[in-house]
Amino acid sequence: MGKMRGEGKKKKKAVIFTLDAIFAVLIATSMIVASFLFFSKTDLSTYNQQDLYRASLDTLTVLEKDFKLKNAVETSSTAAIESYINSLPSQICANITIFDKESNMISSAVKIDCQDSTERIVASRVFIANNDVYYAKIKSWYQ
Amino acid sequence: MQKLNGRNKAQFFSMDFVVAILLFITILISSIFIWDYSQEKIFLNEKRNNLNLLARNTASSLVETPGNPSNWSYIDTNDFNETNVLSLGLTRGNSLNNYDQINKVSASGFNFNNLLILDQEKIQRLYELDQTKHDKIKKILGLLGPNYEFEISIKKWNGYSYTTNYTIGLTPINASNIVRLDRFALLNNTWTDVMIKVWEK
Repeated sequence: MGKMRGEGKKKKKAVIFTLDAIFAVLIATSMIVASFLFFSKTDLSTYNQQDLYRASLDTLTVLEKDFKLKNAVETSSTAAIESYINSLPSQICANITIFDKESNMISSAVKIDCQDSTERIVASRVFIANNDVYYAKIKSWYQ
Repeated sequence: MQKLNGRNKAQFFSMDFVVAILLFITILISSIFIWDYSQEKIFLNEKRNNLNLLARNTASSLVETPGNPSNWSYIDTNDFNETNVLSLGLTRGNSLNNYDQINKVSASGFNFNNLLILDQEKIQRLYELDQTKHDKIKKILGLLGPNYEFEISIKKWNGYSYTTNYTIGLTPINASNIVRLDRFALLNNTWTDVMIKVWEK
């Protein structure tokens, strides 16, 4: 009787994974993926609002110097203003409202096929009509 | 059973250690890639921001001012350089024709200027000068980068759309960066779109 040492002893092999290692791999992978996602983002908003504000001011200035705002008050017709704002680039929407010096709304013109937006730029310009002072306010946004 | 000279040698090897080494190498290599990528992205963003600023300054100078001197369009071609022309502008300068109007408007408390009122003669002159003095124009506009170029398009409204009347400068070909900016103005009482492109070869 002599069982050889080890005879009958079952061979046992095991692979040990600790939770620490699993968490470490998951966290490291998440950080690397997040870093690449962050750096691959393209940011276009830096000058967009500035460009829109500049376009708004240009619009009011052109309409004032072209006497379209004055005519809109004196003839009670906003057709010319509508024509101009409809000529703006397709990505720009605008709504122009004319007020008297007591802030009573006189008339309004909106670009066609424009959906309203909460992210709007506002600009104003004063002009003379009927020997009185009025101001035009433009609200513009990107479509 | 025998002890081997009383020495006990053993090797310690755990799966945790292997995983840790692999993870460390992965993170190290990823960090190098991310660093390189972010440096390049920052560099490209800075270049683009620079082009954006140049485009805006150029546009402002052209459509908001008459230039300095305001009669730069009368300067002889041979004398057209950055010493004699400090800035370029396409708006009408003040003249005796509107001197009285300026005084009356100023007395009323308003500021009279030709902001966004373009001068046809100045546009024509700039177009002609660009044929032979393109580099001088670039310098005066402030486009001093080695590979910077510009294109100015003057488009007039014909009732249905804007059509190009003048193209001044070079059309972008194989440009690595282009910035486009549109300003709206009046030319001969016609709605005008002044499109400015600043680009890098």
